[in-house]
Amino acid sequence: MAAFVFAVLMMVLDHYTQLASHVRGVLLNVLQPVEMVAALPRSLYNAYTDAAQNEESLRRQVKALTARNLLLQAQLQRMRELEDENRQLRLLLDAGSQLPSDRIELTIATVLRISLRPEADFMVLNKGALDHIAPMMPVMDANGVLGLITEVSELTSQARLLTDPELSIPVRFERTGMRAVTRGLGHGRLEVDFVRLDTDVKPGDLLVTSGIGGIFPPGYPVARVQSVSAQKDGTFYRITAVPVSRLYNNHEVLIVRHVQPRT
Amino acid sequence: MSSRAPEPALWSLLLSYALALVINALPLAGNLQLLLPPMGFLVLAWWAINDLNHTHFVAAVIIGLLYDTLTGTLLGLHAMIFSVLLFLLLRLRLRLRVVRPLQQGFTLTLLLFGHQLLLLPFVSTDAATNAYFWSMPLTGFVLWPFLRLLLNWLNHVPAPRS
Repeated sequence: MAAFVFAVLMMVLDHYTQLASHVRGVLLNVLQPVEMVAALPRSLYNAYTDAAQNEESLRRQVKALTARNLLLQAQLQRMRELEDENRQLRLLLDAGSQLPSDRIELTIATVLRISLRPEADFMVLNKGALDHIAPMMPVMDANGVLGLITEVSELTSQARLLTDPELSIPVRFERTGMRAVTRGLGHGRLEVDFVRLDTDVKPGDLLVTSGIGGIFPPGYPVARVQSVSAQKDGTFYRITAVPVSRLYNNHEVLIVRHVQPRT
Repeated sequence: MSSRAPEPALWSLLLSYALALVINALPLAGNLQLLLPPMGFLVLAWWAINDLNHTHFVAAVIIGLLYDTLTGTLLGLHAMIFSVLLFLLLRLRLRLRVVRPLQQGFTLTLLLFGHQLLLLPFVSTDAATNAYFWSMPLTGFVLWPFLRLLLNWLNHVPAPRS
């Protein structure tokens, strides 16, 4: 009886207050070794496949990657030029308050575990408070936004994925500039809220972060519109979208560590 | 019982629960995760059945809280579910001690089914994963005999005489 009351009290505390977050931190620290041990088989397998690759294929891979790196760097230089030009134009237009934030530090983290259950969608990363990771840091991969760090222990952290029902991301449509908010539906899908019926939306439209709220840096791809339908007697569309990031196949992800507050 | 049974060794308690958590934390592909029953509860059930000196409610709450962290649910949800199921189990444990393993497994399957029912209001259901969600108790039924054997062996519980 006491156990039941305690558990229910805990649930109420966790739902309505922030008091339980300390308890959660302690529990996460207890779980750290468990998660490390559970991730061992996979890391051993990865180490084995790495070791089993022969030298010839590795050489080829290095060559391909060097070429790709060169290409990307050339593109990046063009990007920098455009960024500078963009900033100058914005200054000319006196739109100083909307200068894109450019101070971003990225931390590479390895995914220890992805939990895609009806309860919650999240991943456990191998970087924690000791690596200066803190809650509310965005997580992304090479293709786009993945989610947000919600809990941090000393050596690991938990990131809610953008398909988790508890995570919403402010976005805008890349094609039209319309602003909206995504909401996770679980099971690898998203919904886009607050798009009025009189706006132009098509399946295939790309959603990028709008930067509103100051948590996600603006301009990163989030999801692609999958289906658009009008709600009965509503003023908004019912839009489902699929994430552009590779939710399930990631081994390494990027944590956006430091976004300069926009002035 | 005229004399109290020996206290269980602390290391075997901790080891069994740690093992259960590791099994549930294994990175399994996609929906296979959903098929795996909460091993922590099965281990708890084994202890409740085999160690009559304690009610194991403290263990139920601690393991429940760890499962809440492991699955990202509301803190206390699994603690609540585990303590409710343990309460039911404690009513039955004297009878469960003497029945065949198969019958034990059947009872635990029903309890795991209750686990899913209690969890249902707090999860997002989907047609693609419903089948996995509801077949979890059956996996529990399959896994129980092995878990029972392993824990019996670890704790030197003598085989039943019948």
